[in-house]
Amino acid sequence: MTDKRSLIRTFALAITCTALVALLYTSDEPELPENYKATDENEPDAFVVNGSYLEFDETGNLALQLESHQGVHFPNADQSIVGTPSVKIYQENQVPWVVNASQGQYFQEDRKLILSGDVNITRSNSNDPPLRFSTEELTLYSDTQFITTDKPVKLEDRLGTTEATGMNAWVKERRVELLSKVRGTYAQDPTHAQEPKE
Amino acid sequence: LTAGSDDPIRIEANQASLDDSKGIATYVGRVVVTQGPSKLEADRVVIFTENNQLVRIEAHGDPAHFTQLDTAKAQQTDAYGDQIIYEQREELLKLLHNAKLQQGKNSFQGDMIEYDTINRIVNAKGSEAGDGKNTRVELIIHPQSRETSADQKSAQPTDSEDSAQN
Repeated sequence: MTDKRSLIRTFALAITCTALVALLYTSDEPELPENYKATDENEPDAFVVNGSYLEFDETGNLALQLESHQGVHFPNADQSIVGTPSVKIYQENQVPWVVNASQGQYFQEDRKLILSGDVNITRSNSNDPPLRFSTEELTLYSDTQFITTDKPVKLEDRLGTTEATGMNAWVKERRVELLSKVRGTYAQDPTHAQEPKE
Repeated sequence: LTAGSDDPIRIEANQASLDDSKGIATYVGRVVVTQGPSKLEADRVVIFTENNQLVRIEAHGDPAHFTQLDTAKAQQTDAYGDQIIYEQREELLKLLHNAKLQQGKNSFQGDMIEYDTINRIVNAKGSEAGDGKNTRVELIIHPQSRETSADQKSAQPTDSEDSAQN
């Protein structure tokens, strides 16, 4: 009796293995074209979770720090996509400018970082009045610390609020150009002007 | 711009450049600066700030034009100059080069005019160009016609009435 049962079990095992092999063999992977390259343009080669990317200037001082909870690197496009990036732009004996956004694209070779989605730049320290820019998208060149956008931008500092369309900013020189449709308000007494929200 | 006013100063322009380290903002292109009933129009306006306070406004135009409405007297003051400088602390308006100030029918013209926006005092000066073309100050003051001065007299309470009121 037991011989008969073990025979059935062996037979069932054989059937299962055959079915498994068949399944594996006929996977729905499309026929690979002959000239298929080993890595495709859109194939990422690295995933970084809670990464921190640092850049130093020629004299070895920290120039930029980019932090993100998630980053994906695409080697062929030389591009990294980073989620909720936070960027600190450092200058000698000055408080860093902090840039936050919903998403960022970093192009290593051009040292270019495109930030989009609820982008705001803040600078606040004890001796300088707080400064805050907000816009929908901007481009930051990390080597020259130059920021540019053609989108509407709002600038809030202790004196008041200024809005415009299009902006260029040179962080090192603390200089800003507003490119069109400039509308500003100077509060007479700084206490009237709202403190820009942190 | 408006004596003793706490209203915010509003500014519109085509472009602007802000130098945060020097506290200077330069506005260019059809610049309009307003505060309450006062308005300044120019091609270029530079705003100087110190310790987060606006201390000086410099307007350049062809000419730059400042208007101020005295709502109590329903009288408008118009000031013109190639350059108009507003000193916030003294609330003083300086009109430089081709300066002209007009209040109703009265007008002052010269190379430089200073206008105290609080006490409404005008100080005018000719130019010492030194090339023989010195410009002198020109004042045109229209005497008040008898009816207007009579109206004003009847509107004012006489001494006896004054003392009765006190």
